Amino acid sequence: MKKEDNITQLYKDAFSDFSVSAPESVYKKVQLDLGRMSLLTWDPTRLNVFYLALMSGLVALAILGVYPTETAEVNVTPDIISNTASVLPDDPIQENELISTIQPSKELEKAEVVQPVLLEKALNRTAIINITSEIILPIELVDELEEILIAEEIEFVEELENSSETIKDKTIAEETEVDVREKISLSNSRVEPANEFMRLLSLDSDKKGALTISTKKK
Amino acid sequence: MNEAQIIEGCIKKERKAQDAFFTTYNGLLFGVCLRYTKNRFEAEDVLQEGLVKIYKNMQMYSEGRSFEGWIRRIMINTAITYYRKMKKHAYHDDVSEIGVASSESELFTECEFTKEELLNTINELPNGYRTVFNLYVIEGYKHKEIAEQLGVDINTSKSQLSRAKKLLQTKLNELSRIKIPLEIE
Repeated sequence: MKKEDNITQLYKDAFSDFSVSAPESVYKKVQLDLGRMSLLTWDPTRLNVFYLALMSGLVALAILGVYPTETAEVNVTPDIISNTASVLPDDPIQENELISTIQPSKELEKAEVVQPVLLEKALNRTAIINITSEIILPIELVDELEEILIAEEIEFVEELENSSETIKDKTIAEETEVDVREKISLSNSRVEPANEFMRLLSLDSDKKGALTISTKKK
Repeated sequence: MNEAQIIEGCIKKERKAQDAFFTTYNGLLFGVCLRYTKNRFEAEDVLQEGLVKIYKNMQMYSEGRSFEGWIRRIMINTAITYYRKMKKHAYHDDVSEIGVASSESELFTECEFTKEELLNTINELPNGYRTVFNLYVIEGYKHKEIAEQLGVDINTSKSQLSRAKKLLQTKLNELSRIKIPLEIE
């Protein structure tokens, strides 16, 4: 009995204030467990699985609701329009302006005054730049159009110069000869055989190469 | 942070309060776990489980009672539950196979043992003996309480305690036999 008492006393004394430091890894595991439990437990003041489910549901709903509208908008974006072959606007007036700048009309070729035509050209060019800025064309395409415009301009000026010389010649011819344009007009009169026409047509070298048409008939 | 602030913070699930609780009481609680388990790894498992229980049920602590006593009790219950779970799968120690202490030696009374040595002797006891010994000798439970706690008969508790003491006596005698020659040298 005495021995047992000794044992009891021995262990009681030894372990009454027994303390051993626990490793930190245990506390980390405890925190993980608590975090998991907190996530799975409903608490209105904390983020948990119920809130996450609600949020994901709302996001899914928003995506499903918005997605068709987004696709419709994508179909009409200017980038896609600019990538297509046609760069012409829907407005017929603007379209005519664009064509007139790229392919000068016959009316412009017949014009006798240089300045108004150039002004028109300038206007047309401004119009196309405006159009291009409105429909947001790629820079490369705008540059290409500008190059075409410049080339057309140069060509047109050259033609205009030629036509002004022709006009001068025509004035000289008018002074000396009777205007027979009505008679040789292909649109207003009957078409005469080419040989006959060539016979009527003769070049007078004395009058500075002016083109004259003889009115004399056989 | 004092005890009341720690408790209040832990109820609000504040991380700072939980950290302070662990810093203050981890040694005491781990000491309890080491006495009720076979080794350090099992003690860590029990401590983890017990700490989660404490943090989770902090609001159940009623003022006026000893807080240390409350958390210690939770840890002991966790250790008992742990061994109840393990009991189903663990090897059952047959009492008859355990050696009975010889009455020839009383050497251990003349020798001083370290806490580590004493702890090792407890750890070497079979689970049932160890639990009853701890509850009766260290925690000061009565046999009736132990019997209720463990779900065994009172006499079983008594006999297990008796056998536990005898086993410890034998182990301490063996230990003292090794230690005394060393001390003389």
